[in-house]
Amino acid sequence: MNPVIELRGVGFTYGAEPVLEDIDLAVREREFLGIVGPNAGGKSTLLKLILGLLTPDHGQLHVLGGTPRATRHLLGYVAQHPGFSRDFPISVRQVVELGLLGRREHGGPLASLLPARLNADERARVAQALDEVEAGDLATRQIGSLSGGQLQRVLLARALVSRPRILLLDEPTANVDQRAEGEIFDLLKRLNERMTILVVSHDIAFVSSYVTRVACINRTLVCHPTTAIDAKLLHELYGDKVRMVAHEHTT
Amino acid sequence: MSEFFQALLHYQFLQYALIAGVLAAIGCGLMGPYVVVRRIGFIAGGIAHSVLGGMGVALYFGADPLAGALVAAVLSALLIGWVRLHWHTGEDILIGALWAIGMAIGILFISRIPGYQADLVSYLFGNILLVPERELWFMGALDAILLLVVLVWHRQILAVVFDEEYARLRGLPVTFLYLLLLVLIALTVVLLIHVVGLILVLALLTLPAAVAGQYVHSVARMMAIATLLSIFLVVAGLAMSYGPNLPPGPAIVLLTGMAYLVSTLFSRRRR
Repeated sequence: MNPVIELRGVGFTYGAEPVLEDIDLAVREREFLGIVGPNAGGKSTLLKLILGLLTPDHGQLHVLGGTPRATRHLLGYVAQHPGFSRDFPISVRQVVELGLLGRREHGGPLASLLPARLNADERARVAQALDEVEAGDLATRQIGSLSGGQLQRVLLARALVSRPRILLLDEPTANVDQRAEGEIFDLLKRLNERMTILVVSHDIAFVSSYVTRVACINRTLVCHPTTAIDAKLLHELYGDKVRMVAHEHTT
Repeated sequence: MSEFFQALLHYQFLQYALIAGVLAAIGCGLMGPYVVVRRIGFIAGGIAHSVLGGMGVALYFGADPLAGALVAAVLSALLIGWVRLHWHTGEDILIGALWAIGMAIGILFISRIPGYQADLVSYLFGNILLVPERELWFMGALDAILLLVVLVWHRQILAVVFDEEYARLRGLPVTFLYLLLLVLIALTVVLLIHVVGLILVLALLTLPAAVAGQYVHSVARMMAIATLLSIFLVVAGLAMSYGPNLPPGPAIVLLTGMAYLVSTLFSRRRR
């Protein structure tokens, strides 16, 4: 089976500073890949390359058999820092509705400029996406009134409403409490039954109990099965002593 | 104020002023909320002030100053938009430079035309009482363009204004939509020149929308409230300035500013 995401010899530099070097990675369909590593190790940059928001300086990158720019409308994305102001006058339902805009499966880039009145099917999709992330009761709330965990669920619903084939999440639980963190990863585990998921996280021990494989990034990349994450590996990755706390999950 | 409404029945220039005020208020109401929620007041100010360059050049060469204003506004919107999208450092300085250069060009060209000094004041501070009939048609056409674009592309523009990166990921033509928004703001600036002039444009473009944003929580509703409020403020400012023979532009802006301050105090106490 062809990988849904394939990077060969990919490198990226911010100014004179190399961020990623010689990255090889193949992600299979329905894989749940955790991406971990130290701060400024290149985790978010890797996601942005896959999304086509950045262009690699070296190497080849294919997503769903095409270039990232050509296929990014088939991807769902939840950013670490949302690109909007929390006091923007917009309801949760409207935010999710905006996730329906853009390039369609059929029709070129200009199709996204056609008048965009929602039909009954699209309204049902919005409600379904909100229900799926258990945020149906938040639909009429203003985006600025949500807690960190609620906001992440809504942004996940915005990503899901376009029915993506691959879901990418950058530190989805950075601003939520531990209980909400578990709930979000339980939800991702369920979504993984029908889509490929890549999640960047700082919490390697927590992530490794959910994902099928861990990609450790600190400028270069090494992949490990989740069972192989131990203190020695963490020391190699972070280059310093790292305390490892094992989380047990009953799911 | 009753003196104004009695005179309105008899004097055509007052009727034209009223129509011009309402047409300008519609543009403010439609575009102001985008400017406020996207926080691009500085960009709108840059576009507004660079318009004087176009007007000065048009006057100097004997062309219609409003046509010069329109060309300058659209060009400066496209330039500022391009800078904002591609020149990620120092954009505020460049916008400030365009702001100053546009005004300097306008003043230099106007200074070379004998007897046009009075016009300079009316472009800077507006003179709604001197709007000729053909410019009402021009203003009506600009309003029609604004309304049509908002009706067709409001959701796409909202997506870009709300979260530019996500709109880009969804495959929306973000550059086109962002530049379109700035061009629409440029058209609104031209609409407002006769009413309040270049210097005071920013107040009417942002304050009614900001007041609306204190009471409603969607951009579409902000547009409706800001349009009605702008119409009220323009008509009330015009009426209040008529009796004591004050310049209408500053009177309208003063009233708008007071409405904003009172509303802000009221809405803070409500919380």
